Amino acid sequence: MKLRTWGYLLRETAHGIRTGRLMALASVSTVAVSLLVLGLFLALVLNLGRMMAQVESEVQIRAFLVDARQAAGGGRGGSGMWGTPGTGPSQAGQGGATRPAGTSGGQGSAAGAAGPSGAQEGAAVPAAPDVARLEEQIRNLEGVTTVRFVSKQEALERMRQSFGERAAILEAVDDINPLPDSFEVQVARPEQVAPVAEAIAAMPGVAKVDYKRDTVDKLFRLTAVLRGLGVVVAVLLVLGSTVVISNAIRLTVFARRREVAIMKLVGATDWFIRWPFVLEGLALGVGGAALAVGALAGAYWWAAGVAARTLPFLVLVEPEEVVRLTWAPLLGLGALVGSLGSGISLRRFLHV
Amino acid sequence: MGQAFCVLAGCSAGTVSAVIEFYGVTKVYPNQVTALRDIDFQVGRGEFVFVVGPSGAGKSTLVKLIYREELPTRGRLLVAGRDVTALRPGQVPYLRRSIGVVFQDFRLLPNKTVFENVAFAMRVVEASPREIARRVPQVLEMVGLADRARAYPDELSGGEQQRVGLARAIANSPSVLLADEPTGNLDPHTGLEILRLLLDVNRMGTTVIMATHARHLVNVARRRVVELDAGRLVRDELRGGYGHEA
Repeated sequence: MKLRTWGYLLRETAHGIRTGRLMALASVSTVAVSLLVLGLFLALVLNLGRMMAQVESEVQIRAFLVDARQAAGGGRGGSGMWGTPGTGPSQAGQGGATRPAGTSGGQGSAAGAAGPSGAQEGAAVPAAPDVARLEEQIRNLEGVTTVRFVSKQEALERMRQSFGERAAILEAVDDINPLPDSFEVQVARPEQVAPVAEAIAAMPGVAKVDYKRDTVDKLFRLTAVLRGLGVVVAVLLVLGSTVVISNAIRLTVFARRREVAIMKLVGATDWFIRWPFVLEGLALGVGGAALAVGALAGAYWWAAGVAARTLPFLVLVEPEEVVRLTWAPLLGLGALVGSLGSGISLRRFLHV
Repeated sequence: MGQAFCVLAGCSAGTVSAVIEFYGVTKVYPNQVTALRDIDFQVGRGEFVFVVGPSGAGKSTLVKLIYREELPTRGRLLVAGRDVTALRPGQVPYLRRSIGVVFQDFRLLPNKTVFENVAFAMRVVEASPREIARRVPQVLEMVGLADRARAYPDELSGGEQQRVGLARAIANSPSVLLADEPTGNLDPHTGLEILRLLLDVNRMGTTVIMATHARHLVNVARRRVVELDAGRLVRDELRGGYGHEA
């Protein structure tokens, strides 16, 4: 088509929208409200995703080691399997030397500190797990990024700190410290948590393995439900908007049936006749979507502000990020709804 | 066929090309009404033909078939040598650009001026603004409405409105002009004016087919008359009157 033809078609489109002002307003606001609801769903899912990533990144496997005292009490034999007394300290020292600097120093010293005590106890009851070898084995598992040894003394110290003023009640257990030694293991990717945890659990000397599987699983399920719900809501709203737009276009077609008849009569091409209606549908859809993006930005900015004041521990996705991620899909959906709506009306009411 | 046509049209073989050719055309509407039965006739380039007959004889259907508003149920129909039944939908607009149509009810756009009504027909086939500015006054002059260009249709008399309709029909310089009862809503005197304009258009080389039951106009013009009755072609006369009973 020629350039001036496009100018003409655009003028006709504007004329069509003006002619059906009320219906155009109804369509634009329906599209806007529908896409706003959809946008809020998207924002919710985005935030859940962010939350999940956070929980996942914090996912830590805690592997509790068999307590030497308990092991001895239980009369577990096979000391050779768990390493011989005396090798603990030396291996821990080796590990400290070969591991790169950084956390290794602390770990090395922790292991070193634990070594003697383990060795001492081991001397009496030969059942202490070989901490250094276990650490090495865990470190060699696929996906493991850091391994940190937490001695039973350190665990008790942590508990004491978390108890704060009421730490005095722990004095009762000071001597017999019932907390076991443990490893804190981090993995590179969330999906590696489960296999790594299983592998560690299977290692000799490991009594129990724990990680926040439940939290992650619950968030996963919630997100899946919300996504599904969002899709259903989106489909319904898109259908509704399509019907409303198709109605608006139908009215325009009806208002201009004389023009259309004459256009056909004198030999206007089908697309010349269709374009103003298609463009009108597109304008209504995209216009509604633009309003929805604006309203979403405003609503989310406000809600995020309120949330930041009342729930400061929640780390929400920034409003800019929400707009950046949602404007294109929403405008695209608006365009889709618009062209679909006009398409339906043109098929049914404009026999060119 | 061509032989019979030339005998009727009074031409010598080989010098005339038919612009509209009906070969055994039958039209049955979806409601089982048979509007036309086995119609055979041809119209040569530059001819003026009246299609007459009582209401419901099939005159309007015949006109609609030519500009492909309707498709024949059976038979072949050629317009300017092209089989309209074989046209792809995308080609129909281009067929229609070679055909102008005038209706009994004028079919003007009430919210556009006389000038805009005529210009509209040119604009939608993507004529240039310069072409429109040149051609519209020309056709308005031809139908005698040069001074009413800014008027709206409801400010015009019926005869004037039909002249606007005629101006619009010829604006894109079609080679065939179809008129379906163009004087049906006009008094006899005004009808005669419209007929004179149609004869003028014909004189300039445009083939004109006029469906009518205005007896006096047919008898005045003394042109070729094709008579339909209940969908059958019952008469094809070179310089006919409206009918034997006239």
